[in-house]
Parts: sequence; C-alpha cells; structure tokens
Amino acid sequence: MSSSPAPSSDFQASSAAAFSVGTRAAGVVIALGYLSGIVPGPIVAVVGGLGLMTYGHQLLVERRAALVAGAALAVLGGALGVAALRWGALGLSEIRGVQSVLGPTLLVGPPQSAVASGIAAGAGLVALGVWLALPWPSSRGTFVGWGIEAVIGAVALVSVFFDPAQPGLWTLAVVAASAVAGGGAWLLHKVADVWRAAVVSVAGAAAIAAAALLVSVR
Amino acid sequence: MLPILFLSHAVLGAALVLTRDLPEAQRSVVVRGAAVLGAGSAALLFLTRGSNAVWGAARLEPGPAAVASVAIFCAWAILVATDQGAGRWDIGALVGAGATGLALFATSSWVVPALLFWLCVSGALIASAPSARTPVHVVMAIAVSDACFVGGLVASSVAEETWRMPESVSGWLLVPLAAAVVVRSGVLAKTGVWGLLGGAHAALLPLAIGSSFALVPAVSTGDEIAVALPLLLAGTAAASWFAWASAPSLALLGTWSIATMLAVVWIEPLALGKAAATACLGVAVVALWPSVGGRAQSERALVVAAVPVTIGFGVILGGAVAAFTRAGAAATVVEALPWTLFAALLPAASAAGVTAGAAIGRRVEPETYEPVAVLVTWTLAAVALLLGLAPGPQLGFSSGPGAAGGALPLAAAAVVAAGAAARFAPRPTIVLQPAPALPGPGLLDIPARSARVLSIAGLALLVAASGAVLWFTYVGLKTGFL
Repeated sequence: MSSSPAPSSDFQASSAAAFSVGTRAAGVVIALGYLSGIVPGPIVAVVGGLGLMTYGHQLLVERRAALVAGAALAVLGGALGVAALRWGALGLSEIRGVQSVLGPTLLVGPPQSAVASGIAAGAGLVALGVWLALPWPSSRGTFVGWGIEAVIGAVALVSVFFDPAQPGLWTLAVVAASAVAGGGAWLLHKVADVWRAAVVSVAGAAAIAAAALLVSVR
Repeated sequence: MLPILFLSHAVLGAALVLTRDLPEAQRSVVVRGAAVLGAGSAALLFLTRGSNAVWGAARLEPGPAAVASVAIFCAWAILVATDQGAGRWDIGALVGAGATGLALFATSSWVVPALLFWLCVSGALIASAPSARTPVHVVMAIAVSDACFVGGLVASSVAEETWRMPESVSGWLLVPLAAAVVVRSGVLAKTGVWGLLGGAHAALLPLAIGSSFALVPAVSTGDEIAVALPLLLAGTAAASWFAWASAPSLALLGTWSIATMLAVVWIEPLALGKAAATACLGVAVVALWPSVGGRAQSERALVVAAVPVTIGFGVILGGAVAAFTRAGAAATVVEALPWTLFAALLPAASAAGVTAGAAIGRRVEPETYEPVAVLVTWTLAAVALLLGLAPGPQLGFSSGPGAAGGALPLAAAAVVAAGAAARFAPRPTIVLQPAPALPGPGLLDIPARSARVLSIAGLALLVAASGAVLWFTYVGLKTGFL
C-alpha cells in the first residue's frame, strides 16, 4: 500500500481544478445541445447540464458555499419545472411550440397561471444569480466561462417563460435576464453565505408557492 | 452458453476453496485471478442479456440479466481491489456461490427456484457476516428481508394459485415484499448490509443490492408511487446529510444511490437495468474508498453524483419523464399530487447528489491508497461512463431523451470538451482544507448484549424462513410445479 501521512494537497487540488474546468465545459456542451434544439429533449436534460456545471462550481468553494450552490441549482431546476407544469409538457420544443401559438408563458391566462409563472420566473432568476456568485470569477479566463454560463442559464429561463416568436425580442430578453442575474451575482458575491442561503430559501419558497398555485388552478 | 455463464462463478468459488492451504502470497494471486475471470464472465452475461435464452427455470431477459451481471461484476471487482495480499479464498468462494445464486434468482420464472436461489444469496451474505466488523447489522437485515420475501412470495403464490413468479403484487402483500427490497438493498443508512463495509467482505454488498433490485419486476408494474416517493425523499435526505456533515459516512453516501435508483424503478420498470447498475457501481466505488485514500476522488464523485453522461443521469431523466407524464394523465388533483411531487423532487434530489459528489471531489485526504484499488475505481468509473454513453436500447431503457438519436453524439462531444478543457483551459486556483481521515461506515453502535440477542433472533428468523422454503419446495415437488 502506498502511504503518505500528510495529504499531498498540490496533486489533489490540481486534479480537482482539472475536473472543475472539465465538468463545466461538458455541462455547457450538454445544456447548449438541448437549448439550441440540436438534440430534442426534456427540460430536465438542461438541468442535467447545469448540474454538471454546478459540480464544477462546487469544487472551487468551501462546504457551506457548495451547499448554497446546490440549493440554487435545485431552485433553478424547480422553476424551470413550473413552466413545464404550466403547459403539461416536459419537452423543450413542446414548451416553445405552445408559446409560439398562445404567447409567452408569463403573459398567457388564466391570471393565476400567469402570476404563478411570473413568481417562478423571478425565483429562477434569483437562483441563477446566487448560482453565478459561487464562485465569483477571479481572472479574465474564468470570467469568459462565467459569462457563457450566465447566458446559458438566462436562455433556459427565457426559453420556458418568455419565448416570443421574434428573434430580436428573444435576444433582448436573454440579454436582460443575463444582466439581471449577473448583476445579482455581483451583489451576492460580496455578502456572507448565510445571506446567500437566505436568498435561495426565499426563492425556493416562491417556486414551491408558484407550483402549488398552478396545481390549484388545474 | 447460459449454463457456463451462470455456473462459472460457483465453479470459481469452489476452486478457491481448494487453494486454502497455499501460501498467502500465492493464494492472493489465485484469488485475484479468479476474480478477474468472474468479472469477465459477468461482462459476457451482460453482453448476451438480450438473447432471451432459456435454461431450465431461467429465462434471460434484458433488465434482470443486466441487474445480475453488473452486480456480479462489481462484486468480483471489489474482491480484486480489496484482497491486498490476504488471499481471502473464503470470501471468493462466497462471492462465487452468491453470484450464481443471484444470476439464477434474477432470471427465474418460477416461485420455488426463485425462493431457493434467493436463500443461496442470503446464505453467502450470512456466512460472510462473522468476518465483518459488526455482524449483527448484516444478520438482522438478511433475516428480516428473507422473512418478508418468503412470507410475501409464498402468500402471493398461494393466493393466486400459481407456481409462476408474479408480474405484480397489490394490496397488503406488497408491504412485506417492498420491505424485503428496502431492507436488503441498504436504504437504511445506519444499519443493514452496510455492516459489510470495510474489508474484503464488502464484495458481497453488490449481490445484496442486486438481489433486491431483481425482485422489483415481480412485484411492481410501475404504479407504486407510495413506495417511490418516500424512497426519493430518503435518497435526497441522505445526499444532503452527507454533503452537510463534516465527518461524512460511507453508508450515507451509498444510501443516496440506492434509494434514488430504487425510487425510479418503482415507477418506471424500464429503468431497472440502468438503475441497478448505477446503484451497484456507486456502492462499489464507495466500498473501495477506504482502499483508495487520496486518489480518484473526482472519478468516485462523478459515479455517485449521477450527473449527465454517466449511467445514473439516464435514470433520473427517465424518472422525471415518467412521473410528469403520470401527473398529466391523472384525472384529479389528488391523484396527480404524488406524481407531481415526485417530478418536482427529482431536480432537488439530483442537486443533492451533485452536492454530495462535489463534497467527495473537494476532499484532500491522507494518501493511503492501494494502486490496484485505484485502478479498479477508475475501471468502475469508466464502466459508468460507457454505460451512460450506450445508445438508447441498451439496458432496456433509453438514457437519451426523445428518439435518443442525437443524445449519443452530444454526450460524446461533452466528454471530448471536458477532456480538452481539463487539459488546455486555464485552471482556477483551489485551496482545499485537508480532511483528517477517511470516512468510516457510520453504523449504529449496538451494545454487545443487545447484539447477541438480536443475532439469535435473526438466526431464528432465518431458520424459520428456510424451513418455510423447504416446506414449499416439498409441496411444489409433490404437485409438480414446473
């Protein structure tokens, strides 16, 4: 048996760093594959891609921050699920298709459904902000990766909640959502984990309330 | 071919008994060689799982055959990694006997052979218990699951007046059979078969898990949301607890994989093969952890976290689609509620699994690793990846959404992107806090006196269950059950 009393933190940290970069890249490819429609599939597959990216994030932060990042992923996944629940369809192409006929999820009645969708979209955006804050990019190279992840998260939210047929409006919505989530992340990276946890908890409660409201309309 | 694939494990086990008088070093080589052969035979069984071959009371069907083959592969793999020069011929013999029992149980179409081969697996597990650190946990778990299984299956057979294995069980009979699955599989984190962790006897763990998964198709048609929802909650709680705890336990991590995968199987029977494979591979890498200190953390983490591209994510995806579809088809809100809850909880469960995985990947541990065990862990991670990349019909369940046509190239592109990024992209600086020690099994402490009483009660229960099986076999032979 090979044995060394003191942990070789250099090797293990280097290995974790490589896995962090690798899993984030793999997550980006998977999420983009489904969001772009190149591969048809359910919204859960996009959440899987986000999950891989989250794994990469969590390797870079300490235990409590990793828990908050995990919770943010759960809320983001839940918020995307509320949109699927609204239309009774899990497939991304079906959700987009129904919006192209009836209008964006946020704006289609009955009013309770539109309100529930709005609450879920807000919760998802807040969760995306927290998710992006952990960790905050430390160099130009990591900032590019962070920007790509912010856009992917925004595209996921816009695709299920506000997918207008016009490409211009869609792009504007993605830019706006990315900016809001990125701005939120900038604010949230400066505060302690306990505050980020509180924000995620509120967002989680809002997503649950939105789902309950939708089920009650049924 | 089928008899060879089934019986080869028992033959290897019997051959290992003959090596007991060899010097330790030579015996260890033979044990590891036999284990490699056993793993190869299991891989062959996996590759022929769709042949529908029949041999006596056994019929090879893709799902159950996949369960048996992956569990047996993992059992032999653990033995290769954990023998470490000790030449544990006894554990090898028990793995061989248990593996053949599991293969025949999983593929049995008739009640009597199924009962006998289940007991065969139980016998191997019980016989390995005395060398475990806390045998009472194992004895009690096997005794309770055997009593529940035998009672439930015999009662079902008598009620339905058939010698064939049931295709589903409803009403109160579901309770003991579901309990048998839950107790034997290791969903109860602080007790049960986790008593086998921490040594070569951990090789028996996948056989216990495989046999519990193999029972599910006989009792469930995919409607058992009442069983699935608590299991999913248990899995989510176990992963969250593991990620939260500063001194995590191995059993907790294993529970996450098993409970979550079992939950999906109870509502989506097509997920059987992939779910059992995920659970067995997850438990195998967890069982090997003590032998792989300071190495392969990220590989272990990816298998356990069930993230995309590994086999586990296909199961989570399938479970979400199944639950969502059932929620949509429900006539009333009350009927839809549990299915909606299940679909809503899956992203949270997935996030909890990812967080637990990252908690493993972040650890800087004392480097106390056995090179062979590291190699085996890498192999198991590669198997999880390969099975995740396998095209749609593999294991009887599509991991790729939709027609699964584009899922494979996308997954392959993701793997290539991951490799390229890990090699060429700028790596962030990570400052990791060293963990003082490797995680322990995390079992309940049972006082010696209570352990003695419980062991005696467990053995009595086992004798009663075995007696019932012998009586039922006698009745079956008298009336001609085949």
